[in-house]
Amino acid sequence: MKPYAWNGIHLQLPDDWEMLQFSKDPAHGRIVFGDRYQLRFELDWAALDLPPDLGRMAEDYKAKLIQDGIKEARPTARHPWLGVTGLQDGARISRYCAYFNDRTYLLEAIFLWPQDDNPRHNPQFEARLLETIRVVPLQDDHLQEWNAFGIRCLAPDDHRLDDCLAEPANVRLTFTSPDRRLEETAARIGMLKAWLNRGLDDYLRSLIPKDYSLLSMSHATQDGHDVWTAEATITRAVLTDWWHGRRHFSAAAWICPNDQRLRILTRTAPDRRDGLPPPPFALSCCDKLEVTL
Amino acid sequence: MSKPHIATVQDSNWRRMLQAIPEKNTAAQVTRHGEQVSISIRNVRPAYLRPPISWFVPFKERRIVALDALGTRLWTLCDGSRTVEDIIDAFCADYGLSFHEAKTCVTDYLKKLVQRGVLAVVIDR
Repeated sequence: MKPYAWNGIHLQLPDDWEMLQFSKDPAHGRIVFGDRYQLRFELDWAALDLPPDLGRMAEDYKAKLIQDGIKEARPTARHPWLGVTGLQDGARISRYCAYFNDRTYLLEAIFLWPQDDNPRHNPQFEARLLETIRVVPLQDDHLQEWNAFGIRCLAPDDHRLDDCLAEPANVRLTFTSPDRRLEETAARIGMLKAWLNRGLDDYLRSLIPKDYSLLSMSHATQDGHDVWTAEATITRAVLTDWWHGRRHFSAAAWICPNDQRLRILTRTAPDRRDGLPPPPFALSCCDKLEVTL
Repeated sequence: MSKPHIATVQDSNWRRMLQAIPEKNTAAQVTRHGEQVSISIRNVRPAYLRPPISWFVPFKERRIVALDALGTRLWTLCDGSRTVEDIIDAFCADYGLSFHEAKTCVTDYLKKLVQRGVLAVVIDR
């Protein structure tokens, strides 16, 4: 089973399932997973102001599904999940909902079983998978884990996922602070032989934004990972920088020897008036290395 | 609860596409330049291209499609026996990609090659 963490929701899914669709909005959205042949699982979330009446909701839900053409609908339950299972277009579909007090999330989990594998519809598998779904409350360290597309990072919990680029061999998550002055990115890039034709230090230098001047460049090795880090700053005579502080750019890059993918971690942040460093932002590639800016 | 986005089984199933077999255009002329390949395809003369229009509008008998390293690998794998799924698996192994990363890559490229007349895709042989 492969772990995923998205928007405070943690779950574990079969190794051959991949995330194929996602939403960024913490108030409501969904993530969808598929195996190599079809979509298999969808998880929807919605932040509610008050806990819902789940029993009544399940009844209404069943009635609506029957109205929508789901056949042989019958209720099912896996605490704390209430659900309905039935046949849609000849394939079995199971839908469950549960309310989680942490973050006041109402979650809906939808399993779509292969049409040709109907006899293999496996309620125990559904139960096992539902057991892995949990909504993680905000942590004391104020960090939130994100784990998808081969990226596992810890971002400050008040920072929002602003952008998620998921292309073949090129994944990048971008987080921003509520005032949008602080931006962090975590990236995982593959097919290095096809495009990386210079040293990592040189490549990292090329990531430094225009008009920033390099302050320092360093290198460290841990468990076969050669990690390059860079610090740069910009001084501009503009009112926003005078008010908010000078902006700093920090970055780290390394190639994980396990999957041969390049990991990049960057942060652009203004100096804080209280002199405290910005909140930590961490990216790990495997069990052996986690880099924190 | 909202209406699910997994709307119908048909929408979410791409098994048939994976079982399709890409076939090379047998009329194509292939030139190799080291590890890369150029493919020359015969153009079909449009019906309207007759005198006097053809006196002013030039017609090229052939067009050249130059493939990069990725395209060349894809072209090589399209031998008339491998399915799209087999080609995706080969890309996963060659480039260290996940199945769906390779699927996006391969199907996008196949689509372009089909549009340019380099390949045809046989479904349900």
